[in-house]
Amino acid sequence: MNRRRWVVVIAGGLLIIGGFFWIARVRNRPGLLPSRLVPLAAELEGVRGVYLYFGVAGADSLAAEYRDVVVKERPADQVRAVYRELLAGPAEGHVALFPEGTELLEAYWTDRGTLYLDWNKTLTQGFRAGTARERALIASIVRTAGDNLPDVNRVMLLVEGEPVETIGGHFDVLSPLLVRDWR
Amino acid sequence: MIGAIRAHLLLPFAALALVLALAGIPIALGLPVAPPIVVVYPEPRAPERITPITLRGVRYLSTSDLARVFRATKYWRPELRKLSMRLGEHTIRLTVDSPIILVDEAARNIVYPPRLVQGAIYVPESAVGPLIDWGLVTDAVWDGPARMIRFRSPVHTVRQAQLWVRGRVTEISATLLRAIPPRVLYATPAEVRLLFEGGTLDSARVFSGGAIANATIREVPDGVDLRLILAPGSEGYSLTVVSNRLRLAITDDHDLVQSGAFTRLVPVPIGGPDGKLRVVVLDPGHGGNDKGASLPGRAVEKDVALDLARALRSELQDRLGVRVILTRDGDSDVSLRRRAEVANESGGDLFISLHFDDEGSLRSGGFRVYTLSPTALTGTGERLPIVLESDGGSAEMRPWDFAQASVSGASMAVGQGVADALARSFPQTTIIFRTGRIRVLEPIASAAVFLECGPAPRGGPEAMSLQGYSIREIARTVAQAIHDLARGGRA
Repeated sequence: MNRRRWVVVIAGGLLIIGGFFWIARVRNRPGLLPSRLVPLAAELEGVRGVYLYFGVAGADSLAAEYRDVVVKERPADQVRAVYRELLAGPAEGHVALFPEGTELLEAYWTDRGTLYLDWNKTLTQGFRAGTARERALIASIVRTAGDNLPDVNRVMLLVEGEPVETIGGHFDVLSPLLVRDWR
Repeated sequence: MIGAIRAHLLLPFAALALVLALAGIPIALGLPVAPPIVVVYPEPRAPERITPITLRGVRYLSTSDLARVFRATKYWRPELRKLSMRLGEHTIRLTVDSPIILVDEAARNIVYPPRLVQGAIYVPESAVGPLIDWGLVTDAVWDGPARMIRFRSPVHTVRQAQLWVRGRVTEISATLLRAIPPRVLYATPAEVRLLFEGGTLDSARVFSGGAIANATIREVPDGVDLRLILAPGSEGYSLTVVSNRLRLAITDDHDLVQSGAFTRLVPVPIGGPDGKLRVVVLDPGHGGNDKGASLPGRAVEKDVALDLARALRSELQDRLGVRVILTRDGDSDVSLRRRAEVANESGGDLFISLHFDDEGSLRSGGFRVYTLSPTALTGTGERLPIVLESDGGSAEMRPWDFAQASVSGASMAVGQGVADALARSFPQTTIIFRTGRIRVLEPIASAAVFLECGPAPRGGPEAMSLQGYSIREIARTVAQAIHDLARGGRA
């Protein structure tokens, strides 16, 4: 009886040890990624940590969210990925600022540090709010560029390829917006 | 008997197995066994803790935590097992399981290799100090024994603002750490306002004494804003910067002003050349297809803004007898350019754009008063206007989009006056006065203000009325403020 008990104890101990070492090996296995970082397409190049800015409920300010974004190698693709994530909205209870249905059509920048972002018409036609929201939206776009693209110091907003005077009838976006003015 | 001996022999092995199993639990689960690192930021940001994990007896930090703390961006290439991090101008490239990293293309040995755990890259805690020593992070220090990352406060360029009363002269002094010449935005018998463009302030302050009823110095997006509300009877001011020391003096001594030692304080110039206010242009926002914001009670901004413009027109005509022009007097589409043309072509002395807002999930309620930022068109105001002279007289030419640059100080004085009047009339609500690049204001050649009225926090016309937000009362308050400013007094 005693002998059987000891055999069971030893076998159990060995099983526990084996189990833990097995778990340790699995958890430290290289290349194991959380589900949201699993490659979505064959052309996947990398994962990038970015800061995204969203509105704060009940305040005139913005809050940054740090997020990992799947991006491709080309800089313009990276910009599109960053803004696609911004358009997807906040994850931490903050306030989404873009009108629903807004899309980024094209992105490119000059060697003088100006980033051009070309949006669909929903950005202006779907915007129905006052200065606080418009100011927050512009600041969100500009600060997201300034924080994640170190070579960008100005952001020019276009709508379907054309410059626009304002997004919602208030703030001048006809000329490039300086990143330092919107910090 | 043999069984008993075997049991005695096996007992130590069983105990050892259990000890190993218990010791293996944290390793197996990757639980943090090291105490957290404290990150201390300058006020008002609260400190935070980042928790290392222990891998094979070495403390490791997540690169996600490091990127967040040092505001770096990171880029992970899973197929190459390489991670690059960008800290400002610097780039760090590291490869999983290799202790050699590239810092701005120079190879460095961090002894313990980066590890990939649960899809995240970890670097040894001992690499934090070198990051700072190598100059990659310049605004923080690593306190190894205390295991603390401490961010330094930025060095401010405007410091130690103080108030002195010397007889009939009251003086504000401050130290300027670099040459940032203060710009006088306006200097009236009621207020003096200075802007240190691009400056930063050590601490916001409020003080009073002597000829200064109330002074505030604070940081704003354009720089450092110094606003002095003067006691009645103030006559002149003097501004000097000597050896990086600012001296702004206010006096109520008429003789000092007469002697030329002080500049005379004059009312805000919102009228024509003779100082008389003749034409006010009111601009109800939006219109036609552009409905503006949706307001409580199914109202839309374009209609309510027109109602307010009409009410304000009546008030201004009754109180001041001035000519009032509306940029639209119906539900029509009027471009921002056309609104400015109406104001400039009519020779308007004052332009007020009227708006309403329902902020939804952002802050709601209250009033926002904007004027064009005095720095928005920096560099254009100095070379304006171009004066053309001929036998028949002279004319001024100003680039259309920069017309507001030369009168932005007067606009700020009016905007502040309107904001103060609203604060007195509606003490229960929030009043925000700020500057910005408001498109409709940029081409206006006269003093120009943008007023946005938010509904009461609980919304609805009933609440607006109950809390004193009726359009008639807003119109009365704004008209009274303009009346007071036009008469040279404080609004």
